[in-house]
Amino acid sequence: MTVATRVELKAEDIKPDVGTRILNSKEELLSGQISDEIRELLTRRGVLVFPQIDFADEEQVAFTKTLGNFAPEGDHGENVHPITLDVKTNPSSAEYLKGSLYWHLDGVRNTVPILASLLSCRVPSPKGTGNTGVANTYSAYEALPQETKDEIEGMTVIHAPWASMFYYDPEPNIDKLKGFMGAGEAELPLVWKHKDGRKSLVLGCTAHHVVGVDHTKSAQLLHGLRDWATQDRFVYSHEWTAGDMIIWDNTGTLHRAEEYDPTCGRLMVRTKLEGEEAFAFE
Amino acid sequence: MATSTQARWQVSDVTPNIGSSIVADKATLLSGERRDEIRALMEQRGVLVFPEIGMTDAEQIEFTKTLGTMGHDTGEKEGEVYPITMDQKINPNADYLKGAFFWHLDGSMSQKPILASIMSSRVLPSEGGDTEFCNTYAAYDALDDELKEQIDGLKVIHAMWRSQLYYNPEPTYEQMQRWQSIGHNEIPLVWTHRSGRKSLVLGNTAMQVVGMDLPQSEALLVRLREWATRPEFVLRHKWKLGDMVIWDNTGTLHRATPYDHSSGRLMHRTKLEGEEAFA
Repeated sequence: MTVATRVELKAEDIKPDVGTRILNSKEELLSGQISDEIRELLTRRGVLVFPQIDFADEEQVAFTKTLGNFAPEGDHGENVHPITLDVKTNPSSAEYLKGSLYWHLDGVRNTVPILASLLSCRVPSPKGTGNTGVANTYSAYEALPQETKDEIEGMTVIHAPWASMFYYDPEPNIDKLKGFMGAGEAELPLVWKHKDGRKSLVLGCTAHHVVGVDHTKSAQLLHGLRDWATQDRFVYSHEWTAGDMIIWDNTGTLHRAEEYDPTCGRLMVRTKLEGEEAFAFE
Repeated sequence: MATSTQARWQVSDVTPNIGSSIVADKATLLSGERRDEIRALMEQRGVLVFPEIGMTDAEQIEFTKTLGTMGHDTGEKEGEVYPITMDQKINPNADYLKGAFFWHLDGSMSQKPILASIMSSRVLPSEGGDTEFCNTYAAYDALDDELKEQIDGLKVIHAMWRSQLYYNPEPTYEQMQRWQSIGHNEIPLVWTHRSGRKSLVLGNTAMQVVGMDLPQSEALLVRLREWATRPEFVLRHKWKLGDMVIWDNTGTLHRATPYDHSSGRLMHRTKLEGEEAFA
C-alpha cells in the first residue's frame, strides 16, 4: 500500500475583484483534501471555475458533499437538478427560469439561503450566448464610498418573487400575480453582515422596495446599487464549454444567465450546498 | 354654403362597446361641419376610425384644428405632426416610445391630459404593429357595485419611470435619474368627468394606490387592468395605409402590438389639448 501524497491546491485569479480558476484534477477534487481551501476561496472570490472538469452526475454529487451539506432539490433527491428552458425536459420551471436572466440571488424567502450552487454544462448554447454572470457583492460593498455605506447601514428591503415576475411579464393577469404572491415576501437587510464580519449587498430582481423610504429614493438605491455591484470590475461572465463546472457563493454574489435561444438545447445540471448562515442585520 | 352633393357620411359600430368606423369624404371632415357630431361620437365610442382616408400632414393638422385646440408636448414642434417610429434617425427619443407597447393613456404625468390623439399610418410593417384600444368608461360601467364602492375615492401615484421599467427592468443609475427627473403625479383611480360619466385611470405609469399596502395595491391595479382590457372592451385596429384613427385619451387606454423595430413603421400623430383635469 502506498501512502497518498498530500494534494496541493492549484488556483489562479481571473480578475482582481472576482473569480478564481481551479486547475486540480477530478481525483484531487474528489479526495476532499483541499475542501477547506476551496471553501475559503469561494467566500473570498465569489465564483470558482473548474474548466472542463467533466464530472459525471454522481461525481458532482460526491464533490458537492466534500464541501458541505448537500441540499436536495425538488423530486431529484440526492441527484443533480437539470436546468433548461426546453419545456419538454423541464415543463414546470421554464416560467420561473425566465427570471434567471436578471441579477438575483437564490433563497431570498428563506431565513437561511443556500450557501452555494454548483453548475455544470452538458450542452452549451452557441458561443456568445447563455453565459453565466456572477457579481461579487462583498467586493462591491467594500468598494462603496464611505458616505454610501453610512447611508445604507441598517436599511431593510422587501424581497418577493412576484416583484421579479414584472421584469419579464409586466402585464400579468391577476391569477398569475396571485400565484406568485402566494410564494410570499421577506424583509432582508440591504447590507448583510456575515459571521466572519465581512459585509455583502443583498440586491437583485426580487428586491421590491426599501422599507421606510419613498418610491423614488427606493428605486434610486436598489437600481443604483445593482448598477454599481454589476459593473464590469465586480463581474465574471463564464462562457460555457461542455464539461465546465462553476461554483458561486450565493451569500456574497448576484448571478444571472445571459440571454440565449430557448430552443437551442442548452442543458445544465446543478447541485446546491445547504445554507449555514441566516441573513443578518448585525 | 350648401353641402356638396358628393358628401359622404356613414357611421357604423366596429364592436358593441368600442369603436365606430366613419366613411366620409375629406371635404366634409375639413369643413368642420361635423365637428360636434365627431366629438360626441368620440366620447361615446372611444375610438373613431377613418378607413384609408389618406390625409396629408397639412390636412390632418387642419382637421385636428376643426375639433379643438391643437396641442403639443415638450420637445414636440408646435403646429406639426409628431412622428411615431422606432427609427432613431427620425425620432431621437424613440426609446421612450417602447413603453407604448403596454397599456397606457397619454398625459398621466399632467393634471390635464390631452383630450385626444389623431394618428395616421405612413409606413406599415409586414406584420404586427396593430394598435389596441380599450374603453375605460365601458369597463368602469360594467364593474360590479361592490368593486365600484371599494375603489371609489382611491388615488394612485403615477410615475413615468415605472413604465420605462416595463421594457428596461435593469436600468443604470443615470438612466433611472433621467426618468425620475420627470417626477410623479397623484391622480384619481376613477375619473368623474364633467359629463358625470366615470372612467378608470390605469396603465403602465400606475405605481401605487395611495394608502394601500404594496401587494394589495399591485393586485388591484393588475386586476382592474385585466378587467378593462377584456376582449369585450377592446378594439384591435389592424392598420391599412392611409387609415386615420382618433381616440378619446380621457376614456381609453391604448398600446401598440409588437413589430419589427427595423421595419420602418411610421405613424404621424397630432393631439387635441386637454379640456378637463383629472377629477
